[in-house]
Amino acid sequence: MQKITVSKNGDSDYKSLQEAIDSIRVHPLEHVTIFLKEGIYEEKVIIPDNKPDLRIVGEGPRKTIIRFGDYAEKIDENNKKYGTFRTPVFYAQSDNLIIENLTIENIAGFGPDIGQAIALYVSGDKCIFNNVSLLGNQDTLYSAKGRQYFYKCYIEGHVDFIFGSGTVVFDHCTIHSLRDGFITAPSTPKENKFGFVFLDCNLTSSSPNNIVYLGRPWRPYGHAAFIRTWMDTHIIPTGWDNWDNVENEKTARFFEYCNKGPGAIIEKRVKWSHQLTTSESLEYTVENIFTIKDEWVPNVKAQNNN
Amino acid sequence: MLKKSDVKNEFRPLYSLEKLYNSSIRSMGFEIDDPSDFTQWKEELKKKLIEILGGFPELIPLEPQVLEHKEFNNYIREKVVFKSAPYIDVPAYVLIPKNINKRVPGVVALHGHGYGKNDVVGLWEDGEERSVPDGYEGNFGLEIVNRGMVVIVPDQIGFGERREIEDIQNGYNTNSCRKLAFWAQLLGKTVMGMRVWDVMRSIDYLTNLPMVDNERIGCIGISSGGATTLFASAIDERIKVVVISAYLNTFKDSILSVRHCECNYIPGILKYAEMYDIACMIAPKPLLIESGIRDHIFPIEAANIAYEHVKRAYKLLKAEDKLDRDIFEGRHRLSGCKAYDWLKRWL
Repeated sequence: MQKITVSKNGDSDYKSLQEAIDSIRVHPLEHVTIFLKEGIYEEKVIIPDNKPDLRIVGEGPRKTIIRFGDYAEKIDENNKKYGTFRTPVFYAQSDNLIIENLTIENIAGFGPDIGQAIALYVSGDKCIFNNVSLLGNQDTLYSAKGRQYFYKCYIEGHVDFIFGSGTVVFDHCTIHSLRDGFITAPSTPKENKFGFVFLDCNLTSSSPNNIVYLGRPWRPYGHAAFIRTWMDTHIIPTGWDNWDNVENEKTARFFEYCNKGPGAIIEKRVKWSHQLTTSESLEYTVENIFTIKDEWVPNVKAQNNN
Repeated sequence: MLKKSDVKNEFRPLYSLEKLYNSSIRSMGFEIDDPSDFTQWKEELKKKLIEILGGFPELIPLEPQVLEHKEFNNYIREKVVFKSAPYIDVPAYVLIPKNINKRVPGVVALHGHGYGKNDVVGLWEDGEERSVPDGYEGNFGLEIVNRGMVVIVPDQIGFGERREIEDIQNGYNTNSCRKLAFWAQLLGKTVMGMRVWDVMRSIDYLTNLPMVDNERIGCIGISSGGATTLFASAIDERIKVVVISAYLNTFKDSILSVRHCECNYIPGILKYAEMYDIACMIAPKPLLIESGIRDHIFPIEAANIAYEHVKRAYKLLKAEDKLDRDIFEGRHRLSGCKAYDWLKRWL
């Protein structure tokens, strides 16, 4: 296994995380671990899709912090707005990544002049995030595709701060709402059975007066499920929003099972969301969620060039 | 890497003990076919259990004191202390539902390894209030009081305020189990025996409260609290409804196969009974067993085996409706999906 160290004070192999990633050969022959020592790393980080099997380990979310401040309303050198997907602090594009013990923070702030500001953009398959804090406001975590597992992570934001089309399990995570808003905005494709699944999480907020929805469908078939999750008073009794489109109520897949706490009172939940039965809940095993039975037989009509 | 066949079996230290396990254990296990034999079997095993647990101490006056009284929206939380045995005082929280006009059930709620009673009643390790659950125990004391039952949450010996000074100095998440277990064993006592006695004394406390119905006592525990719940419920007939979370298994596949705390070991117990035999003693009282399918320290395969054994006792006594499980996708933790309603329903 190749080991690389990074620290701000020059006593390691590199001073920035991106330099360390750039030093790794594409399609590494062995697993690479990058140790990111205590410090604040002001940088945008890209792990390209041809560098899989990396492990990046910090010294703890309070000690190792990667941060940047791009935001959707920012104007670039061509006088164009950044838009959402150029804002991330951290792009995790390769498969089989393990990211541990650090914070990724978008420090742009919030408001109409800021807009979306992503902390983590993940599109790699089979990625693990363990004891990672994701700090931001609008659109903190974007899972574009693939499967990711978040264990004992802290994710904060206010509007749609967990969004995208990936299949993601959040296990024992704290999901913290800073203000009024929506926790999830899944765009799960119709053919995928699972989108965002929360197991044994805590939903907390900065103020008991906040009004927060569990989610709204960014695309019609968005899927989200909260299981054995503790919800504070900020969760609105109706639970879910249709994103101003009643048609979404027919397709969105929003589920709950055995949640607890003052925000988990199910009597007033919107009728188009569902409480799982005990036997249905047993389908929500990590193995099941992450098993994709996907065959692909390309069907191309031969071109007759004559 | 070595294969099992590379090492001569007779050189392996556990080989003869595995043989012993397979041939001559459970001399008092649940192997009866006639329901009329059940009580005699149970009483004999109970007597033996108390003996191998190290016996119980002299019964002394409880001398309960309320140290603190705090009111919340739905309940009152009292900090209390009572005498369990000579030289043993037990600090506990008692949660009492507000607005009760008749006698209500009382429940003993037992924490596992962690920072003791605080985790069960919505307090951080340093005593600060918190509403958010922390760790693997899910504020279960609060969940129960919110369902209209009185709850007593003692510090189990070795945890919380009941630790040696050097362990307290080393932080909140330490315990004194190891030294306690070694002292106890050399003196013919067991940690489990001491913990079971404290549960019996906690029930004494509950049944002295004017608002508690003495015929409706339950016990719930997670992990090592589940262990104490198992033994206490097998021994103390006052316990009427039981929830064992993240514990029920076989001794062989859990504490003998995975690294576990020293407080789990009861010398000689396998000569008489496997863990499921003790659970059989609880029949026909309502018993709910929680097991996470990813609980690596109490593996689900062995939890399934244990459950099938326990089922035999409930079947024999025609009480199959009083036995249930909560199998969940999760690790070593309390689920609560069925547990709180189970207590409410049967108490």
